[in-house]
Amino acid sequence: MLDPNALAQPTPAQRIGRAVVANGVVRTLAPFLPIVFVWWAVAAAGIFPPAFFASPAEVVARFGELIYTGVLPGYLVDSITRLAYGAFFGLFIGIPLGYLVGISRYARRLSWPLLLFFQAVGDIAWLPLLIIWFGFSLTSVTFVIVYTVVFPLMVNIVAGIDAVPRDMVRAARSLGAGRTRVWLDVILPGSLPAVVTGIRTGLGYGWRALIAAEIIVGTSGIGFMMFDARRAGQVTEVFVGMIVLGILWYMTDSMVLAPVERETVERWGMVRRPEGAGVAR
Amino acid sequence: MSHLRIESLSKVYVDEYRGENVVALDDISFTIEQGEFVSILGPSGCGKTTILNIVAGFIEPSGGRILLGDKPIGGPGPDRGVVFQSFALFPWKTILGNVRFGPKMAKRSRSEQDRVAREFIELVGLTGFEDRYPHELSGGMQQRVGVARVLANDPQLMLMDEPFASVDAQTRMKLQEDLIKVWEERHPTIMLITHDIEEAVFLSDRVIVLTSHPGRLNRDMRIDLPRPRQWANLVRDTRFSEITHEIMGLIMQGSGNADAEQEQEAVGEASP
Repeated sequence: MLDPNALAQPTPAQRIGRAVVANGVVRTLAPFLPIVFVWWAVAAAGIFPPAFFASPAEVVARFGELIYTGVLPGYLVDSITRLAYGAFFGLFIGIPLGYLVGISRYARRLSWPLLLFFQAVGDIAWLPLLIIWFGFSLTSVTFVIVYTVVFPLMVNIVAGIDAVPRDMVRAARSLGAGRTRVWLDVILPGSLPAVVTGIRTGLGYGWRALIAAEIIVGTSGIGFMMFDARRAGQVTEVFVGMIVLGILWYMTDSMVLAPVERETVERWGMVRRPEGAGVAR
Repeated sequence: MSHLRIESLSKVYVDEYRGENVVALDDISFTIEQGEFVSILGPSGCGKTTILNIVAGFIEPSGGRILLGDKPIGGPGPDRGVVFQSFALFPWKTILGNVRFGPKMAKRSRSEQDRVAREFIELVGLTGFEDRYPHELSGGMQQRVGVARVLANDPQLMLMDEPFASVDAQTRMKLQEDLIKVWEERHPTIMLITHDIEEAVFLSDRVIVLTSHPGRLNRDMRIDLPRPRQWANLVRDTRFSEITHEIMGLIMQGSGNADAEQEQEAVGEASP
């Protein structure tokens, strides 16, 4: 079996093996293997009636069908479009507003009670009113997402501005920076970790709000698909929906948020890990 | 005409919890000459950092006045560079970017910014690290950047607030020797705040000793040790130990008993 040459020069099989271990896809999927196994075991043991608990094989099969018939891709596009709209407007409104509130003690004192009040009136609580105003439309859903994205973003940015070390601001001032330069060169980059955290939290909330809104507003989308499936007693489809949600968030995180963080706050040593919320002090 | 003139400076804080006035600094007067290296020495709570913060323009004095050259100082400005205990480097800027910050604020041309920054990076011995980020450097190296960043701005006065207090003892001695070299080469006017007696004596032309609670001027001592100074020569120097002992005595007289004991412990730990 052991060929001495194979040690010196890796065989194609070995090279493939190493590539697999080093591969990000494998490293991402490996932690799910035990969960899938337990899931499969529970389904196979027949603890729950099959109508209530779908097996992995059924879910995969249904997943394939939903893609093949174009139902899932269509709903996915709907959901992602809504999230994109919501996220865009949420960031567009939330980031400037956060800095505006953070900039002056005056603006902060005025807006802080409002901020806390409207943050407490949860996103979904707006839906009855929104449906009356805008009907079952993209506007209603976008509003809800914008709403969920804006508040964590603002609160994080205000906290981030406060967390910029005083010595850093003082250093800039005694190196000749005026108030504007201090804002542009110190407060803005210094609060970036908080902005990133705010975007992450905001989008996470926004994504959940989207599903909730789709369940209630319900004309299309992943959330609609799941709730519609419940009505039809299609447990397998609910499972598919849940898995799709998880995958989508993971992709958003690893393909959009994480690379941005790697190039900025992580590179500057201001944040330790993308997953950890801890900000380096 | 002295370079920096501090006249009957006082600072009173309001303790918000007790609603009392706390006198941090009481009638402090001293001067610093052009190119002089002066240390302000005192136990913790003597208000020495308050003096620096006032001279830097970070906080307002309650009374007295400060003249730099012949003009009263205002808010923070590039004429008074500050080296912080916490380094306070900008983590999102490279070493070059950090050192270039002052010249950039002074709106000098890009090539001029680079030339000046590289010159001072070389002066503190960090050539080759221009493109690194601060967190990639050791504490000692970061503080070298802190010094280069201030000197690149060619300030009239360099203020140093316990600059070597957060690095280990060996690194500290090396940094002190290198600071002396830089000072001997460029002769910036330096006001350094420290609680480390040996550091103050080793570095300075003059040591100003403060008492605590309230901070008052205790003694203004000229350090007549010959230059260039190196730790290897001074550790066994009788004059050096005479001076440090004299200052230790002053500090213990000048503070309460409990404080004095604490200070003695701290000094015992610090000595090699």
